[in-house]
Parts: sequence; structure tokens; C-alpha cells
Amino acid sequence: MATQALPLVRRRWLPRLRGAGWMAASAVAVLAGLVLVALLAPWLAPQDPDAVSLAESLNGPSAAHPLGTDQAGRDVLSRLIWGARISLLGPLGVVVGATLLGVTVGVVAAWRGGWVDAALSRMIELIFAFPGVLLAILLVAVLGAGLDSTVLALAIAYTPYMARITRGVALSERNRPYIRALELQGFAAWGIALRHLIPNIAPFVLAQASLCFGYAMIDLAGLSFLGFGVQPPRSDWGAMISEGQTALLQGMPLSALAPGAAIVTAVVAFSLLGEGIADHVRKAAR
Amino acid sequence: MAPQRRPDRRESPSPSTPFTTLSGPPQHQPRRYLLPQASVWSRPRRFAATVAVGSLLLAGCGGNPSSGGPSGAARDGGKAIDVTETTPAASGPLDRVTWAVQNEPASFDWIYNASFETGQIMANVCEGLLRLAPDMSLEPALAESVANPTPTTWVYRMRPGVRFHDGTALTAKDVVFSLTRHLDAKAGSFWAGAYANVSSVEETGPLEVTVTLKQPDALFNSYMSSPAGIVESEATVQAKGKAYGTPDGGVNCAGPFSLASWDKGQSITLARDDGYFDPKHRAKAKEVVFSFVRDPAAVVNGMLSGSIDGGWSLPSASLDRLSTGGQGTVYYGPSTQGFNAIVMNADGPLRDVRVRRALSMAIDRQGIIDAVLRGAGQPQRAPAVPGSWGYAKDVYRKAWDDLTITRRDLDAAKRLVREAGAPAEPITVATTTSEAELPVIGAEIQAAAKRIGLTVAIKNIPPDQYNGVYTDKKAREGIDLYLTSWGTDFPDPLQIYQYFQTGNLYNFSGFSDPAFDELMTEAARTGEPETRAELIASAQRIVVDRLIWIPLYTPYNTLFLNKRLSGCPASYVQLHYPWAADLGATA
Repeated sequence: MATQALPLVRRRWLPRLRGAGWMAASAVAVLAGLVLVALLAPWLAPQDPDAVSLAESLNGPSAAHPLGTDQAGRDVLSRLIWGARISLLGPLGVVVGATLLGVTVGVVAAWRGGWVDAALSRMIELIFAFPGVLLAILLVAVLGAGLDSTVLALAIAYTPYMARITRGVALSERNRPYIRALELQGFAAWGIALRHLIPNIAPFVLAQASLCFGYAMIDLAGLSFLGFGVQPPRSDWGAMISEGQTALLQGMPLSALAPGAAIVTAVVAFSLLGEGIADHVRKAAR
Repeated sequence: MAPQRRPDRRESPSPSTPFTTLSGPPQHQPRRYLLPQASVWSRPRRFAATVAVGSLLLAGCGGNPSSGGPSGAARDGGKAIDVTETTPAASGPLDRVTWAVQNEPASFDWIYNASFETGQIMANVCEGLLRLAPDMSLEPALAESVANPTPTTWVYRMRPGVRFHDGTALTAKDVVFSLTRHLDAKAGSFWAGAYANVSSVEETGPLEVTVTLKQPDALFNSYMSSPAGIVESEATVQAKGKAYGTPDGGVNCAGPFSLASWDKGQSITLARDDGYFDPKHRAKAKEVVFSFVRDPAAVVNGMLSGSIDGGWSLPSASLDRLSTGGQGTVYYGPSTQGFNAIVMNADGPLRDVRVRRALSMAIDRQGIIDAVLRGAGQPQRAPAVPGSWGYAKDVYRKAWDDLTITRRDLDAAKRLVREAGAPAEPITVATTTSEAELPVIGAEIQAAAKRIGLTVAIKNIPPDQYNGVYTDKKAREGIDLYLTSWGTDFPDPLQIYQYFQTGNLYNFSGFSDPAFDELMTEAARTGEPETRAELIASAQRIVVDRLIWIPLYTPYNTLFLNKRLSGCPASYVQLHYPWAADLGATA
């Protein structure tokens, strides 16, 4: 049976994003720039990011290497540009995974209530009690190091954050008259949830996902720093910081500072975007 | 066929040559000391003691177009590195020395002494029957003399008047107890392998102990310079029980320093023992404090600010700053350690020796030395490095010079790959980020493989798993090449080649060659140094030709001393020599 959305509630979140403020707009611009850099990496990078040239180890900035070279003689700028791909795709994978799992768990808990809600809530609390990075390290020990393992591990670790907020807003949404009306009309629960409830709680989920993106980026960078994440010769910004550690001691900070600055920029941008969305969602709710 | 055996010097008692090293294949836990990646520059230091050994080491590496210099000064972008066995002699006493160590020792019990940190501290507290001198020769410590009346008998006569730190006299009973403890399987000594051929340890006089072997074992006597030969008070070990060797129980040995305090997680303080038996090595410093500083940057900053007086195995990245910081001097000493890419899986993509040879010929060893060590090392040609040639150096040098398989030749490497056919599966090289040099070396091997048509996949694994490879077969799964520093505890190449014998615990790839085994067995029975060296050189040739280990480089031992300190050796003897006793004020 086809379901029909209620236009009033279904589209109400769209105007909110338009007024998210200049901070959020700046964040969107920065993030768009980073995404563009990642997409255009093959054309923007001046060198092969994986080309090892030990003779050029730890060279300072030059025309050929604007940010110098790392200890293996690789061009830091090129690695930074190519690294943007994995550095952005990794957190995206974490957030998408955590959102899918979290929204499912949250909506099911809110919809079914009773023992299902209690069981799912306890499960969420259990995962909450486990530090995300530790969970990731445990999972990496089982699955082996690599981007896939760390993304999967962090997606699981971030699921409670998404599930908790989803359950909270879904509970109040579940009791709204339009949901009752749809139920009385005989629509299937999954259809109502998919077509009406979830779109209406989407702004909250989006705000949380945006914040999680920044945190996931830091955690993934940390795991890459420890060697659990992306495997050489591919590199992300976290791995680049790890590779640049020894250069710091030699007074050649660029190979570590450049990826560090990129991470800070991206994380701040995502945080501002998340905060902006959250502010507007709260204002609209009032 | 093994070369003809020459007359064995051990067949007649020879008290006049008590420290002849012999051979044998005991096993022990390998020390995995990751030596510093020295970086370097020119320093106009020329000590009288700047050693012939350093020159010989470097000369031994001559002939390879990609190697460093042929003299005692290695090149680094036109700058020279002095390799020295010792630092200038100290001229006066000191009140206190603060030394940096990266990790806290797990135990001070000598039978568990197998870490770099524990070894360098304990060497000043607990003496053994023998010790390694700065020139890496064996010299007497607690033993006044050593005799080898039959190939299977070693007789150690103790110095009279030696006292433990608590003032009690050292007796032959203590020696028997200390040596026998390694034979106790329940105790789980890390050095039990050194006693694999020992049948009995007996008191044969008031200050005399006789060790009887099941079969000739030339390495046994050399092991007496390692923790396998340390002597501790039996009464103390019995009285302390499980607390022995811990921060609460401490130790009671006969070294130039006693263990004054152990502040858990912070530091260990040694105090000078004024009753130390050897006037030549009586400590000049009243107190030596070993601070546990995990972060290399903190160590470097401490050295540059003067709050840390010295340290061994310096991070390579810090050497330029330390040498130009004006607070002290970085010294480079000869070492018995080498850095190798060890074949873990002989059935995988490296099963064809031509592929292994091709990979070896493609690696830019000098590039690694320049980028990772900043020039402070030499390309390596065989698992046993020049620093481990404790005897018959001419034989070993000639054998070394004849080894060309590690010489870089991309065209020949490509030809070999074409002949053998590139393996379908990638060669997996294990690295870990906890050791700064490994990712760079891994990247170079990956790039080298690509240049000749091979594919290398890097597998980054956590530090614990990385070190677990030595003992856990499961940890080796999925690894084709393993990067590690490995060397000998004393200058005898036989020690490292025993790991290639059929069935050896550390023969990870399952290498087996009857001719090699025969040469090693023969070498173990041969006391005459030249003949033994020839046998070992022949065995070495087999190992190198088969490239079970792909030798990469041999780094120098690095040491930083604040400008107010001097006197200790710079060679790689800090684990088996009471080096802190020699530290004193500069002139």
C-alpha cells in the first residue's frame, strides 16, 4: 500500500538549514573546498604522493616541493592532497554506518517500546561504556589493520551516539497525532517510520552526524597515527602526522604540522556546521 | 663438504690464553635491541683511542660502490663521522649523573635480564665471571682466570676478596648457585639456551668452579660475559624469595654500584660501592640516577637543557640537534648489531631465491642509511656484521668483501625477476609505527620492488604483535618479510648463524641445508680461530646466497654525554660492561 506523506511536517526541516548562520555557511564553504581538493587530487597534486626518493629525504620547501619532503623523500603537499580523500571518506564511512545502525536501533526502540526498548537501551549503554578507540583497537586485532576495519569499528562505537538521539526524538515524534492517524489508516509500521517519522527527525540526526564526523575524523587520525588505519603507501592525515614525528625532532615540522592543520581545519568546520544545524533545529522546535 | 679440521687449541690446557672464544650452538632468547639511527655531521674529534676497530669495520665495508667511506670516518654529505670505542678519559670524580632510559626494567633478576634498559643498568650493578671490554674482547671480571683443560671442561677461578654489596664474601657456592639457576626449567631463565650443553656446575675449590659440558661448546665461555655469567649472593636470593629483583626486594651483587633505590615508574638510583673489588673500574660518580623517559622528544630536550646527562641509542632524528646544542657530544661506537629483512615465509611469494636476490639487489641501502641514520651506519652484507668479528678478522673480512649479493644493481635485479617470473601475490612486509625507522625502510623496499616489477604490500602491525613474532607462530602468519635489528651478544659470528640451523627456534622460515648444518657443527667443535672462522665464513656464504635474511645495514652505537662527563666506552658493550663506573668529570 502506498503511503502519503503529510507535507506540513515532512518538509519543515528544510527551511531551517537555510538560516543556519554565517559560521555554518563558512564551515560549509571550507568543507566544500576540502571535498573539491579531494576530488581533484589527481590534477592538483604536483607529484606522485608515493614516490620514494631517499636522496630527497626531509628537504625544505622548494618550488618542486612547496611543503618540503618527508623522511622517505615523498612530496608532503601531494600526500596532503591525496590524503584528503581517505581523511574525508573514512569519517564519512563511520558516520554513514553509525547513522544507519543508530537510526535503526533508535527508531525500533522508540516505536516498539517495552522490553525491546529496554534491551536496546541497555545495549547502547553497554557500548557507551566502552571507549570507542579501545573498541576499534580490539576489532582491529581481530580483523587486522586497515581502513575498513577501523571504519567498521568506529561505526559500531559511534552507533550509540546516533541511536540515543534518534530514540529521544523518535519517542516524542511517535506520539504525535499524524503517526496515530497513519496507523489508524492501516499503514505498515516500517512504512510510516521510513516515509514520515525518519524524515521528520532528520534535522536532529543530521546535526548529530555532522558533529560525529569531526570526532570520527580525530579518532581515525589517531588510529592511523598508531598504525591501525590506512596502510602504506596510502596515507591519510593521521598517518602523515605519525610519519612526520621524527622530522619534528630534526627541526623539520612541516611534514607533521601540515596534516595536523588540515585535520584541525576540517574538524572545526564540521563542528561549526553541526552546531549551526543543531541551533536552528532547537530554535525551530521552540 | 666441511673444511679439514685443524688441531684444536683446547685439547691442551692453556691458562695463558684463558679467553679464547670457542663455539657451539646454544640457543637463548634473542635480544632485539633497536639501535639508534644515528644522524651525523662532522666533528673534529680525534681521540688517541679512536679505534682501529672502527677503521677495520669501515674498511671491511669498502669495495662496495654504494658503501660509505673506507676509513674510520664515515661520510654524511661530505661530513665525517668518527667511530670510536671510547670517549676521552675522565679526569675527576662526580657527585651525580642523570641518565635517560626509555623503559622501566621489568625485573632486576639476572636470569630475566634481556631488555636493553635492564641490561644497561644491571651491567653496573651485577658483574659476571667475564665482561666485554670496550674493544669488545672478553676480559676477566669476577673470574681471575679461566682454563679449558679439556674440550668439555671450563674451570673458573674467582678473585679472592670479592664482596657483595652487603659486605658478605663471594664464594664458589654463590657461583655454582648463580650458574645452576639457569638450568632450573621452573625458573624460566631467558639465558637457559647458553646452558644447553652443560651437564654440571661444581665447586672444585674454595674459589674455583668447574663447568662440565655434554659436548664441546665454544660459545659457552663467551656467554659468561653476558647475564648468563652473572653471580649473585645465594643467601640474598633465598631470603628475598619472590621479592628478589623487584623494586621492593632489590639485588645484592658485586658490581661497582649498588642498587640504592627504585622509585616505581620514575627512576632507579645506583650508589657507588666503595668496596668494589676492581680498582681499575672503581666508580668515579657517587650516584647514577636512571630516569625513565618514554618520549624521545623529552629525552632530547632534557639533554639539551642539561637536566639529563646522557643516554644510549639516541633517536636518529635528534642527533643533529644534540651535536650542535652546545650541551654535550654525540659519540659513535662500533656495534655487533645489524638490521635485516628476515624471510618469514619460504613458501610464499619469496619462495624463489631469485626473487629474494632481485629484491636485495634493488634496495638502496646507502639511501636508507643516509635518510634514516643520516649516514651513521654501513651497508650490511651478511647477518654477522664486522663488529661481531672477535677473532680471525682477516678471514671474515675477505669473506665479507667477496659478498656482492647485496650490491645494488637494478638491471640484474630486473633480469632475475624476468627469469623467475614475478609472483602473483604481493610480498607482505611487516612494519610498526612504534619504531621510527621501519615505515621509511618499508617504503623504500616497496619502492625498490616496484622498480623491478615486484609488488610489496606493507602490513602495519601493533608493537606488541610485532615483537610477538619471535615467540608466536601465529603472529608470523601473513608476513613474508620482517624488519628487525639483530646481532650477537659478544663478538662471535657463530652465535648469529646458529639461528639458521635446522630446527632452531629462531629459524622462522624453516631453512634447512645439510651442508650448512655440517659446517656449523664442525665450527662448534673447532677451537682454532682461523679454521673456525673459515668454517663459519663458508656457512655464511650459504646463508647469504640463499638470502634467508636480507641484510640491510649495520648502525653505529650512539651515545650522548653532557660536556661535564666523559670516560665511558662508546662501543656496543653497555650491556656487558660496567660503563657507568668509568664516567667522571671532564678535564
